[in-house]
Amino acid sequence: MKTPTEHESDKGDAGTDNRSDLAALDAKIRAHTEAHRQKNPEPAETGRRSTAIGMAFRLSTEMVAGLVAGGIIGWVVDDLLGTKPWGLLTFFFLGMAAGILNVFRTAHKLAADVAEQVGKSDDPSGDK
Amino acid sequence: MSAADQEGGGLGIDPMHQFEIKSLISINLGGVDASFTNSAAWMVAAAGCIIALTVFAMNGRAMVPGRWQSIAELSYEFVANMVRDNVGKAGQSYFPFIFTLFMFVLFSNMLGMLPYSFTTTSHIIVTFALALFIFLGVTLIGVVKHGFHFLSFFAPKGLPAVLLPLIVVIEVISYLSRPISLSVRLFANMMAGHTMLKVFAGFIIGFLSAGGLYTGLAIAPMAFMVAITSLEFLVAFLQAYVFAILTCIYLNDALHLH
Repeated sequence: MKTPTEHESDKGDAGTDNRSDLAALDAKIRAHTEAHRQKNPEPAETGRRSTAIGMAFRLSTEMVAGLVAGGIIGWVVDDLLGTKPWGLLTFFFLGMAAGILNVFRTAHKLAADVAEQVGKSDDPSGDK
Repeated sequence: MSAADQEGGGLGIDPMHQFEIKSLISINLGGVDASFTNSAAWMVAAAGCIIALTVFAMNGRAMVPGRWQSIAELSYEFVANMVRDNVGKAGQSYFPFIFTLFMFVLFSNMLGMLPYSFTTTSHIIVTFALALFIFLGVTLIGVVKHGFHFLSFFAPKGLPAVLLPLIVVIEVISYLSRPISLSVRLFANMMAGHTMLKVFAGFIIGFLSAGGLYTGLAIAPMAFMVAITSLEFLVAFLQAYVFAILTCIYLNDALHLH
């Protein structure tokens, strides 16, 4: 990233004057940004909220993925060992457990992300 | 489509017609149908657009970037930050892969938003191939980095010995479900969105062709279409982002074994 000051300094003699101008402008912008941030805190939160349906969809796919993976494994096990219904039955329920584990992990991660977004102070366990 | 017309059911509009694979150039490799299809054509188009963006937009290499160069630089930094935040320093060497992946999914999704285009990512075989490749690659990286120790990934610490066999099996299934959830999420989002667009577009045509008082009602699905189209653009970006960020998370798991 090139800062404007660096770019201006290429121009030679008028550089110093421009630079102090830019510093003043920078301070001004900084003050405005700070004021704006204080007036409406955390605009990023609305972005998070709007994806609530995406979050719900994400959790449901995690569950389905666990079930499908368990089902496929059960099917393959039955096919290889000739234990017709039992492999599918066992692995279907194990897949259900895996799906719930997936959902739990994803929900945990999402909650940690939201906690990190809202306030960085109160949740020290929110690391990845 | 003609079958639906003959039965007199529906509006004569098939919302799934857009997902049809058509062979453009027939290629037969030893009995295997390897034709160049419309899906392949749009994948090539996506790759072409990415190359055009990253190569030609950066041609100027201006200090103060122009519009195209800004887009290229922004996407670079966006992915670089994603990799840095989710994988850390160790992930830097995998940046080219994540960047390519993100850009390919993003461009496939976005090209799908063009009228008359084909959305390659609305076919589960495409997304599943991507997800399976990621899954195998990430597992391989984990095994190469940690060797036999990689298996400790499936056994959480501090677990009673009695529960160990059960939990390990569940953890393995959970791990194997990763490529499924990764591919289903992208495919289902793209396909559901595009089907919904076609269904509501069908309502507009249905109302208009009904004539009379019904013509005025066409404004409702039209307004909905406008809203849904913008939502679809958001989804197209968001799903590419989610796809890339989950790859980062899986990579992080393989590199650091939580």
